[in-house]
Amino acid sequence: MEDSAYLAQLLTGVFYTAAALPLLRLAARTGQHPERLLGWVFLLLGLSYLFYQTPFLPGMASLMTPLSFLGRVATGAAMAALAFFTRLVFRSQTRWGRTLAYGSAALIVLGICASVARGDWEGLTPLANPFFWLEWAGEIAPALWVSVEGFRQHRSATKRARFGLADPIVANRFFIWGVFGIAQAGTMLVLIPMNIEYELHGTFSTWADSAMSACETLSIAMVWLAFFPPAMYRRWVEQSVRAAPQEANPS
Amino acid sequence: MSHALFDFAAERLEQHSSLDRLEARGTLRIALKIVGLDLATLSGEQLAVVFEQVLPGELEKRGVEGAASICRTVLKEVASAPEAAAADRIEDAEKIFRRLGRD
Repeated sequence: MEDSAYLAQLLTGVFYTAAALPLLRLAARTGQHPERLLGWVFLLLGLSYLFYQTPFLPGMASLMTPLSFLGRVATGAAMAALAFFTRLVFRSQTRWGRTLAYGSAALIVLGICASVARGDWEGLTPLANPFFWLEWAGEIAPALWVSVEGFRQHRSATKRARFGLADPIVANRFFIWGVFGIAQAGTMLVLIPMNIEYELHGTFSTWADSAMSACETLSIAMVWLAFFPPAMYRRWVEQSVRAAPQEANPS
Repeated sequence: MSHALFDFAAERLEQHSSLDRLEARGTLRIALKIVGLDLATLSGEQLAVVFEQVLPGELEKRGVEGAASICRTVLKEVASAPEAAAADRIEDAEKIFRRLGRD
C-alpha cells in the first residue's frame, strides 16, 4: 500500500470521528434516535479506519490481525447502524424497510462469525471464504439504500421547495447524502478486486489504493458538505435556487 | 397517521364537488405528487398549500365549477380536523435532516 494511502485513511478516520461528536452531542440534547444512530455510524467508521491503519505505524505490526478484526467489526457495525438510520428516517412505517435493515445486519453478523469460525479473522479471502460475500452483501446494501433514498428525497424536496414547503439547503443535503451512498458503495466495490489481489499475490495494488482513496475522499467531502456546510457553500446553494426558473404550477 | 388526513380531505372534496370518490382521491393524489408530497408524512400545512396553489387548477382542468371556493371550504374543514393536528406531529425525513445539519 502506498504511504499516501495510509495517510489518507488515517485522516479519514480522524474526520469521521470528529464528525460523530457533534451528532452525539445533539443526540444527548434532543434524545432523538436519528442523530444518535448517525453519530454512531460516523464514530464506528472513524474507529474502523484507525484500527485498520494503526498496525502500519512503527512497532505495531504484531497487532495486525487483532486490530484488523476490530476494524472489520467496526465497519460491519457502522453499516448495520447506517441501515437502521435509513429505515428510521425514510421508511419507518414500511415492513420492507424493517426487513432490509434487520436483513443487512443479520448478513453482516453471520458473515463475520462464520468467517472467524473458518479462521479468516481479517476478511481478506473472498475466493477461499464464501462467507466473505454474506458480509459484503450486508454492507453494500445499506450504502445503495442510502443513495436511492437520498436521490428520491432530493427530487421531492426540490418540488416542495418551489412551493415554499422545503428548505433548499435541506433538499441539497438529500442529494449529497445520495452521493455519499454511492461513494460508500464504491468503496465496497473496490474492495473485491483489492482483496482478491491480496489473496492471490499478498499485496494491494496502487490502482486499488487510489480508487479506494478517491471513494473515501468523496465520502468525507459529502459528509462535510451535508452536515457541516461552510457558509460559502450554503450561499451558493441558496443563490442557485433563487436563480432557477420559478414554476408557479409545474403541472 | 397522515393517510387519515388524506382520507378526510378526499372525502370532503368529494362531498363539496361533483367528483365521485375515485376521482376526488385521484385528483388529490395528483396534486400531492405535483408538490412532491408523501402521503405517509403529509401535514396540515402541506395540505393547505396543495388546496391553495395546486388543487384549484387541477379541479378546473376536470371541469369542476367553483374550484377555488370548494378548495377554501374543504381547507377550512381540514384545518379544524383532529387528523390535521395528529399529522403535524409526524417527524418526516426533512425535519430530521434539517436538525442534523449545522445551521
